[in-house]
Amino acid sequence: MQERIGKKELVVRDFFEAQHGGRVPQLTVQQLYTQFMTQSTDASGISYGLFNGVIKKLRFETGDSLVPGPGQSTIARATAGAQADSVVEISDEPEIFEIGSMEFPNFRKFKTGSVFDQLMSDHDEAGGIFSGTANIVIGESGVGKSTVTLDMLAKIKQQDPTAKILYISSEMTRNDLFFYYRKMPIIETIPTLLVMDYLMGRFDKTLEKAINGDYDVILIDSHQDIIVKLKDVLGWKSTKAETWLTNLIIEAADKKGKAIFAIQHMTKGGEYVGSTYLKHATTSMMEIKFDDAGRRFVEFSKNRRGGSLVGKRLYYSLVQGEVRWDEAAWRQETVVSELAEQESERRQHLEGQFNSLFLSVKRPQTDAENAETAAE
Amino acid sequence: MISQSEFNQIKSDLSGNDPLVKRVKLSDIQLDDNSIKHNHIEIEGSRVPVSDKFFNRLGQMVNINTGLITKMNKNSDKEIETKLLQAVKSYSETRDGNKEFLLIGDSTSHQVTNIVKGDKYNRLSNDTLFATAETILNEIPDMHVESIDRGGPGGLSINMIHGSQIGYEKIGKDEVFRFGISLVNGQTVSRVDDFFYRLACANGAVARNMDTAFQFGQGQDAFRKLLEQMQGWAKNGFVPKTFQDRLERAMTTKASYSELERALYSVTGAIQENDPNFKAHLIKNAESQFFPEFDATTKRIFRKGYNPLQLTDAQKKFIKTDATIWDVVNELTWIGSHDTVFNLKNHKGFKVEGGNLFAKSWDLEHAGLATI
Repeated sequence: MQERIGKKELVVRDFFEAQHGGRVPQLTVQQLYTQFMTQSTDASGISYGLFNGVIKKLRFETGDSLVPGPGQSTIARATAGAQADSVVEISDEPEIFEIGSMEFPNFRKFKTGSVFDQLMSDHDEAGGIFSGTANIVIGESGVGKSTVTLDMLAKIKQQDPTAKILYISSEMTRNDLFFYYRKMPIIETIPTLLVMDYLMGRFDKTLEKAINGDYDVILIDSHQDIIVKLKDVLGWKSTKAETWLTNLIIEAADKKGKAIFAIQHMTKGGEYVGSTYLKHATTSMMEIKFDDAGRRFVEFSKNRRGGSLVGKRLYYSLVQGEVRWDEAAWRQETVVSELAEQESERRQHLEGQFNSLFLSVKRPQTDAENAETAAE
Repeated sequence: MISQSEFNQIKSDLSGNDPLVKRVKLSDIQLDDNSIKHNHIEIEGSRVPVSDKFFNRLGQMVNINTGLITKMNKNSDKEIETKLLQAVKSYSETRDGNKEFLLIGDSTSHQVTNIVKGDKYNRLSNDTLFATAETILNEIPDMHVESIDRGGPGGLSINMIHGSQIGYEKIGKDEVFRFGISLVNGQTVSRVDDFFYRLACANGAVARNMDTAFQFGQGQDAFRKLLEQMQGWAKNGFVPKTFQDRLERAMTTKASYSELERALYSVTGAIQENDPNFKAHLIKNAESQFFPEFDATTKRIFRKGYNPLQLTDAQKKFIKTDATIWDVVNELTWIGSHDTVFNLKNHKGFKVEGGNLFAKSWDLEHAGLATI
């Protein structure tokens, strides 16, 4: 019996027919999907899952199986391949590793020399910003997302002049930036890419080169605005634009060890506007907010480098164009979270006592229950 | 003032002396036909003894009319009450099956005494209340523990005052106060009440519902908000905004016969004495020592041709006495802060009684308007 092929599958098959002579090249599915999303004219509505399914079928039909070479992991080969921009052999057969035997990069930590470092990670007391992380920064308009993150970039450079930093601004023009710089002279030496300068051409290529370029800490301002520009200027569909940019960020962080901060907008109701994929794939979600008294603070709602720091507030104010962290309030936050933690432990202890006092003796079975047990 | 070693001793005495709690859903509580008759419920296959009041509270949780339950209790209709509770509980499980409740157990009586909605139970453990007090002492300069009061099941108040003294010499040369807060652990909630201390008589008073009242919520937000509030209050020496105005009015407003009677009876009712003759003697003495204006007003009522025993409380609220509200507050807080010869039960509770009288609206507060 012949299998029916759906319209979406046909689009994927046409893409491979046109671009690769009907065969599946030896690239990762993610790389192929990115290629598909950028090159196919009819890619909208085709999910990663469906795309992957069609690839499996095609590989089965053409016999293009992927087997890693002896002693080489799929991940390592893929990474090496991606960096060399050459063809890689990758198997979709699962290869299981012991975590301890996996290869990890040498993680680097960037410091701002302020209490902000303690908010970023909890692996040691000094904290800091780990390389190989993709971080989303959200906050309502005017709260200071760009200011806080630009201040962070400038201070990283002050602390470690060898650190290579980059600011990618999609929203500001050259003139806007001039007035921003006058208010905030500390940003003077930050290397900056103005996306606005490249809108007449394939600015996606420019972005790709910049993000994959020789930089350690990159600030993208903003994720949402770049997506809008990809849609409006290059005519990309929403899903394609979002997937492309998210993949670019995740790959640069994961495979190339960059620390990336991407500013994301919020809805008027204060909700995060990005995709769930972005939310889940990132290392951390930094939120910049106003409290009830109108004071500004930074807190993490997710932080894979500092789980114990989630929900802790670091207050700040802007003094003479610089971010001043409120160290006293930060110390108080530590006290507050300790009190809350202690209380939670005591509540658990009291529940344990309840159980041992009241629930340790089981009720004797009734005659009916005894009979039922006997019958069983 | 409480020294560090006294503080540590009381902390250690009360550590772990908290109600036991267990999170449950309504469906976890099993009732059988004899549950009310024999005062037990079943949880996770164990038979758990409960107090007499437990089923009333369970009834309230599933919205059964309280009056109906009371009537059933009065008539000993335990079987009907059990069936009603079972039926309404089953109904509630279908509507609010996911809601979380807390069973509250008393390790001394070995009974479950209460059930409350999970989000309504905001009581901190005693250990955490002491830790909170220590945090405040560290965070707020010149803050001291004035006294620690214990009373009732799970009841604990840590009274803290700030070092700054505020004088109201225009009102009276003795009217110098220090202000602070009282960290209070009740049965199901923890809260912060106002605390003020009159230096002349060393009287402490705990007053609720003035400007600085604070109730704990859950999680670290509650502690954060408390410390933020504390720093705000510390800036003006913890003086409630309305204190001076209220003090002036308390000193000029006469206490009503009803207010004086309530204060007197709360004191005489707390006298612990088994010999009825001697108790009557003590009551008479307490009345003349603390509230002599009561007897004078009673006699005045008789002279006018009325019998005070036949007056309703509403009528008593219109009768002026010679004592001001401030006089009554001072007597109550003095009793709350000092040991007396009368062997009063829970005498420290009079700090709260006096403070509450100071903070409430008074019967004759607007009596002047009657002359318009």
